[in-house]
This record gives sequence, structure tokens and C-alpha cells, in this order.
Amino acid sequence: MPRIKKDEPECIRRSKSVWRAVYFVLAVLAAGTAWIQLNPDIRVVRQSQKQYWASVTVSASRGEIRDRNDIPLAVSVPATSFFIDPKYWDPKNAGLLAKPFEESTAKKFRKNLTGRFYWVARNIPKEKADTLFKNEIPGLYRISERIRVYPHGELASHVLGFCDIDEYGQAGIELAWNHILYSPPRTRFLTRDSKGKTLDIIGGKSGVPKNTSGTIKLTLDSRIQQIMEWRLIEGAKSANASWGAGVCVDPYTGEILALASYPSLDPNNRKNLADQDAVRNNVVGRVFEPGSVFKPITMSIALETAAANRNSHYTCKGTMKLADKTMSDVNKKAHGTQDLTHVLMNSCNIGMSLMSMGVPRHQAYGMLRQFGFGEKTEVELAGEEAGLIKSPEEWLGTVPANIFIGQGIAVTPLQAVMAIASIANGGSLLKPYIVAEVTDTDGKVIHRGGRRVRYQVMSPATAGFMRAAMKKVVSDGGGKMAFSPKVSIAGKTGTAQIATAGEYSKGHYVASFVGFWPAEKPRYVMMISIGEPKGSRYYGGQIAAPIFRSIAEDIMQISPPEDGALRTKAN
Amino acid sequence: MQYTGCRHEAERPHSSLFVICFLSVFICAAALGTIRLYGLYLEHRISETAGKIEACKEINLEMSKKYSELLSPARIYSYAREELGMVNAENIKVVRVNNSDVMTAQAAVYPTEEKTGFLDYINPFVRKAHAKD
Repeated sequence: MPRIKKDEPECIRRSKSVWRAVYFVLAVLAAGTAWIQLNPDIRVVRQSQKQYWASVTVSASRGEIRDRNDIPLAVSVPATSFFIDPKYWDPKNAGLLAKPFEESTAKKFRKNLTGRFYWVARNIPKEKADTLFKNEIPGLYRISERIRVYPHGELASHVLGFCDIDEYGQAGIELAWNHILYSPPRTRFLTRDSKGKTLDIIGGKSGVPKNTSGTIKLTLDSRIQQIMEWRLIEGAKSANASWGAGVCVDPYTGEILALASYPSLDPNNRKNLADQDAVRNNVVGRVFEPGSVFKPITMSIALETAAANRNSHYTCKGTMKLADKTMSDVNKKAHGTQDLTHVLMNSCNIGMSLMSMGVPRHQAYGMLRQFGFGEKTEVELAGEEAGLIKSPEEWLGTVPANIFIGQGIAVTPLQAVMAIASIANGGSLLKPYIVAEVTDTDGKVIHRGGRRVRYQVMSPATAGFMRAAMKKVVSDGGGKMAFSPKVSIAGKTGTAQIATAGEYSKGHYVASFVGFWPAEKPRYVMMISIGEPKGSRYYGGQIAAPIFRSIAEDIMQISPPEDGALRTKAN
Repeated sequence: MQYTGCRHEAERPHSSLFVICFLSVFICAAALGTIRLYGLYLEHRISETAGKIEACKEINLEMSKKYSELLSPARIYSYAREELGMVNAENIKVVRVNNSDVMTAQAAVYPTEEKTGFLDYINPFVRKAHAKD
């Protein structure tokens, strides 16, 4: 049977069209494959990651805190954490955990666990972690983290505060400036092989993780801080006191140079953080009646309101009937007729009570508020208290007289020292500050602390008179224990009773000394308070003044003299 | 014979085109695979470099801690006292000098004013530098 011959051109045409279709399909498939490879579906990626990758949230490096001389006070260092993936964990190996960790830890992992992730131990120092497990245990993995370390231990612990295990600030500068210091935790990817062995690939596929934390430079001088802490602890222990506080500021700028609180704590040991008394910063977080250290402030109010002048005299007979109560001096000692300087030198309660009668209560209240009492100083520290001051409507009976002798009003040591600093600097109440400079990750300064005047609370003449009177208190008055031949100190002692359940009880006192030096041109203003000393010595002049003097003398050893004051060594 | 010849002639161009296309697709697939492998290799290198950077950072942090420990005031103070025998200067006295006395003392040691007269200025034998010039 003869075959019908096809036309040649038609045959070729049909074949080409078929092949073109095939090539087109192949091209589409190739393009699809390339597309899927280059832009995989997110669900597929997640599924594969679940199988081959484990993601763990770990803390990033937290910013440093330094003192004014750039000495690091708080740094983050590498540490090792251990975790268990139950999928690869054999509970029979739990016994191996007992020795390096604790028996309770081993007990926890003896049973079958659900899920894929359990912390075993966190933030173990790297050197120690390296020695813990020489042989790998299947299902137990390690990961590199950061741990907050305070290289100087107790030094400035109440200023710095502390962080939780995830490096999140919990107190002090760490809390108040957490938004600068804290770098959000990043996700760390761990790859797994078929046996569950992990490979720690830092940052996963995102390369080097970006650290967003800044650095904080404080106004603290770690040398002055160390001196203050040593002396305060020594003094508080010798007086068997429950608590203590010390703060030193620059009267012309408001910089806080040292801030110490007793009992102190070492934040490197997390067990110490359970002690609430030690954690509390007594300089900003404790309010108490200041006692006689308040008298220079109320006396300057009397001078500024013209209720008293430099020629005013007051007669003290030891006791005085006022409203329904009796005001009295220590041991009911009569000081006789005294001028303002002698009222301060003798710390005369009667003289101050008489003085208070001439000051309009609204005016006195307003000036006390201008001095910063009853409101926070807004220092850059967490946990600051505002203090307590009665409204003028409550200033009845003996209340004004009590306030003038430093009772019936509650202040923080920082408020008191800033008020005294206004006397030292010529009458300007400054805002205290402790953060000198804040820099971002790139080293750019984003905040700089500086001098800020809140009010001109007294005239320079009044301030000058008060400075001279306070110098006499130390040289010839009740503050003789603060007198030093090495440095001219001016100050005021104070012993306040502590009210418990609305009544002043004997045996509970706060002994304080506030002052400045050199008296002629003050460079430092400082307050030392010793709370609830036990024993026969409880006056501010007995226990706080010697601490003040020793700190002032020590600071003088390390600070260069001012112009016009030449330090010489006698024979 | 004519038919076979026709088939032979008809299939030849299709076969070569097929081979070319197949090769092209194969090369593309191989290139894709190579690129993917190269990407993985680069990722590995990035990971390795990131690891090195992280290790350097860790060393840096450790050194920073050691550095700050060395700068500890307590350590320096105790070292100075125990090892170097530092003691507090006990016999310090503060001497305050009045401003007027300082001015008087300074005035006493002021250098005498240079002669800057016309004759001095034009004297060719004296080669002095004049600050005002």
C-alpha cells in the first residue's frame, strides 16, 4: 500500500511548534525553580528551620558606665549558659549534672520533658564553664551570653544599681538609664545535625549583630567615692548603726562627686540583692527629720524675710512654753542672750523657736519649697523620695518652731546637701546631677549634664554670713570634732529623734553633720548621716562630725589646692 | 528511501536544537546550583568572620574588665600603702595668701620694661627681636 507522502514544510513546522512548547515548559520550570530557590515560601523556611535550626533569645552586650576619669564601673563580659533540648536528651544522663551544678538541677532533668528548650544554668563565668564539661553530653548545649559585672565590687553599688539575669536594669543608674544602656536581646540560631549536635553560629544569617547600647559617664570620682565608702562604713560600724548615708557635691555645678549608703552590697553576688536594707539607697530613698543640720537653712530664711538680722539677739533660758508644749534645749541648758552666730554655734532650740515666730508661715513654707524640700531633686537616679513638708494650714502651735529646729519635716540627705550647697555657692539652689555625658554606639554625645540653677534662694550677703557662722560652729561651737588643722571646715551638727507610731522615742536617733570646705571658698559640700546608732554616743557632733573630718582630710590628700591656698608641709 | 531520507532530513535540525536547548537548561541548572553552593560558602565565611569578630569582642570585654579591676582605687591605694610604703601627709598646713600680697610679690619680680626709644630701634649694632613687630 503506497504511503502518502507528507509535505515537507508542514512536517517541519509541526515539529518546531511541539518543541517550542516543550522548551517553553522547560523554561517555565527552570524559572520557577530559580524563583523558589531565590525566594522560598516563608512557611517552608519556618518548617525547615524548625527541623534544623534552634533559635534562642540571648542578651546583647550592655553599655558601660564610667566615672568622671573614664574608669569603668560596670561592664558586660562573656558568660556561658547551658540548656537542654529534650528531643535529644537522655534522662539517664541527669546524674552527670549533679556535680557541676546542683542535685536539684539533676533531679529536674531525670524525668521525661516535653517541649524543646530548658535552661540548666545561666551566666556561668567562661573559665568555669570550660572546666565543667570536658566530654559532651548529648542533648546538653551551651551558648555564649553576657553577664553584668561590677569590677570594683561594692564601690558605688547604690549609684550603679544592678540588673536582672537578662541584663535589664533593676535599680540605680542601671534602671534610670536602661533605655540607653540596654541593647535588646537578639535571636541566636543554632544549627543541628542528624544526631542533634549543635553548631553555634553567631547571629544566624544576619551576620554580626548590631549593638545599640550607649555609654554613660558619671560625675562621680571613684577615688572620692572609695574614701567616702571606707570612712562611712568604718564610722557606722563603730557606732553600731543600722544605716548610714553620705553624699558629696560640687557647690558651683551641682555635680555629685560621691554618694555612699550603708549597709553596702556587692551586686556581683545575686544573693546579696535579697537584703532590702542593703539595696536601699539612703541618700535619695530614705527620708528623715534632719534635726539641727536644718538650722542654717531656717536661719537664712529668717534673714531673707527680715524676721531676723545680724544684730538680732535671742535669750535662751533652757526651756520655753510654746502653745500647749514646752520647747527645750539639750539637757535644758540655758544659753543666755545670744546673737545669730551663737544661736547656731550652740545649736540653740529656744533661739530658733523665737526666731520662727517672726517669719510668716506662708512665706517660710514658700521658701522651704524653693529650697527644694517636699519635691524630688530630679537627680538621674531611680527610687528618689520627695520628702514631707506640712502645708501652711497645718503650721499651728509648735509646728513652725519644730520645723525651724529641723523636726516635723522629712528630707533626704541629697535635698539637705543641695540646700547647704546654696549657702556655700552664694545663694543659688542648683539641680544635682550625676550623669556627665551619654554617648551612643557611634560615640556621639547625646546628652551632657550641666549646671542648672533652680532658684536664687538667698542673697550673697546672707550666704556669706551663714558661711562665717558655720565656720564658727566647727572652730568654736558644737562641731569641734570636725575641726581639722589641715583644712578649714564649716558645718553644722544635727541629732534628730526618730518618730515611731507618732511619738518620739528615746534611743532612736539620726546623727548628722553637713558642711563644706575650704570654708572661705568651698569646693566640696558633704553630708554624713548615721541612722539609729546604738550605745552612749549618738550625737551628730560625736559620731558624724569625725567621719566628715576624716573624709575631708583624705580628699584633700588627693585633690590639688585651689589658687591662693598653698599646701605646705611643716617640718 | 525517499521517505526515510525525508525523515532523516526532517529530524536533524530538531535534534541539534534539542541538544542545544538541553545543554542550555543543564548549564543554567548547573549554574544555579553553583551559585547556590557559592552562596552557602559565602554564608559560611560570613559566619566564620562573624565568629572571629565576636571572639575578638569577647576578648576585648574580658580585657576591659581586667583593665577596670587594675584601676580600682582600693587596689591602687592598698598597693601604694603596702608595696610602696605610702603614708598620709600628716603635717599639712593651709596657708592662705591675700590677693594683695600676691600682687605685690608679682610686681617685685616683674622684668624692667625694655627701652624702645627711637635710637634703640635704629641702632644697627643691636639686633633685638621686638615682640610688637
